[in-house]
Amino acid sequence: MDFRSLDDTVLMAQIARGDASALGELYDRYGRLVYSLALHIVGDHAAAEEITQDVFTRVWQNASRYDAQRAQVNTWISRIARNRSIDVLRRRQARVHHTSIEWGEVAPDAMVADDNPEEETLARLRQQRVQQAIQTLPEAQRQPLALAYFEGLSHREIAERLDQPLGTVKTRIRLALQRLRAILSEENSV
Amino acid sequence: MPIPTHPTDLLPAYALGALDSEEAAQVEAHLAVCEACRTELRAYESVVGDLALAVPQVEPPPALKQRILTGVAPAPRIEPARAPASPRSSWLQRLLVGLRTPGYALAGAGAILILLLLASNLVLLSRIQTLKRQLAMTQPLPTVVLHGSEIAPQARAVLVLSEDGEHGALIVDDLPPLDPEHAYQLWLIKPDGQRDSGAVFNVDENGYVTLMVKNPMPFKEYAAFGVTIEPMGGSPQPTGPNVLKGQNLTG
Repeated sequence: MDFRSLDDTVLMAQIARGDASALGELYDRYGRLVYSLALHIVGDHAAAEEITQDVFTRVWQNASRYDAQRAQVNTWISRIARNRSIDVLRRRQARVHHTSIEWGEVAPDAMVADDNPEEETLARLRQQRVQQAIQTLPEAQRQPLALAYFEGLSHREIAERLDQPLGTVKTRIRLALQRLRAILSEENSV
Repeated sequence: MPIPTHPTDLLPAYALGALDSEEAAQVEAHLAVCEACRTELRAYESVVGDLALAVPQVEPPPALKQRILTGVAPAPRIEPARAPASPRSSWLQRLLVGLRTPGYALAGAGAILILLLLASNLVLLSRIQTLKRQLAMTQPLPTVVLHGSEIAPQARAVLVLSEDGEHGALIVDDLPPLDPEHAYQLWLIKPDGQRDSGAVFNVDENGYVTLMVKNPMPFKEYAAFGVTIEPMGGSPQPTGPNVLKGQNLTG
């Protein structure tokens, strides 16, 4: 079966039936996303590899529980990847000093070409859209958003880290996500 | 207690996992009864999912895909290879031949006696080890009982620890099975309130599961253990309602 023509939801159903080749196709689509996110959060290639392996093993084990009505496949996978990465980061931070994590710069050529140029171009455009949307946020909103997203800090922890009032942090994170939602949903509807 | 009005302002931070436990539990309770807020939440979850694209994309090592696929595929059944018949005679055959040779009989008898004594010693050693194990089993392993909260009052769990407190296994009974988007998460709670994740799990249709617990520190260092409902895959810190909790009295 040529899995490349299947959409994500059908691919997930095939994985739920125990088809390892379908998992291979899902890895081709999202392996780089998962690995890059893990690497950005934990800053260590070996740990990023371990996290990526763990994420796809969880996808394999829980594919039958995936519900397309509740989340898109990329949202579901990136959530698992982020949670696992932050978990590893927290365990390490008990031993090592915190290193700051920031948003990536807009990098049009960051993704290398693969054997599906059309899909690759769409993925690169999507990445640019998200990066540009984040760049439109004021730095005062980007910073607490990065601490929440990359380090899994709560409002209270961010307020302590940045030495800002709790209410200010709450407002800035809410405004940041509302703005991103407005920009990205507008572009999706074009 | 559910929030009476729609917690619209809290949904972005809830999707991000930035609310503290109490606020998150309130939002969770409201979401359970409000389809409009669930739809709103899904939109923010999608935005949070897209944020993964904002990091520089790095190609993973080429061997990683194969390692993942090998890890998930069922291991092929390997039949033990039958050893080819040896053209050489065995040590026993050679010994028996030797015993038939005049002059070697006495030395052979001595060798057999030594072998018998060795075998007898091995049997005795094995019996001593068994008795030691049985003696150790009469000492109960340390355990921590976790009781169900008001959300799952019938639920029970027991955390069984190794004698040195370095390893632990959790046995859970009568926890309600969750929807596919959620999982249970075990928290190891330090005396200062900080939490380490010990496991993310689901239960079978009878609400039962047994699992090994990951513990960054020896169990005696933790003051209590709790289980919360979290989004599938677990959370960096508790965000959902507590369903099981128990104090660690083993330290």
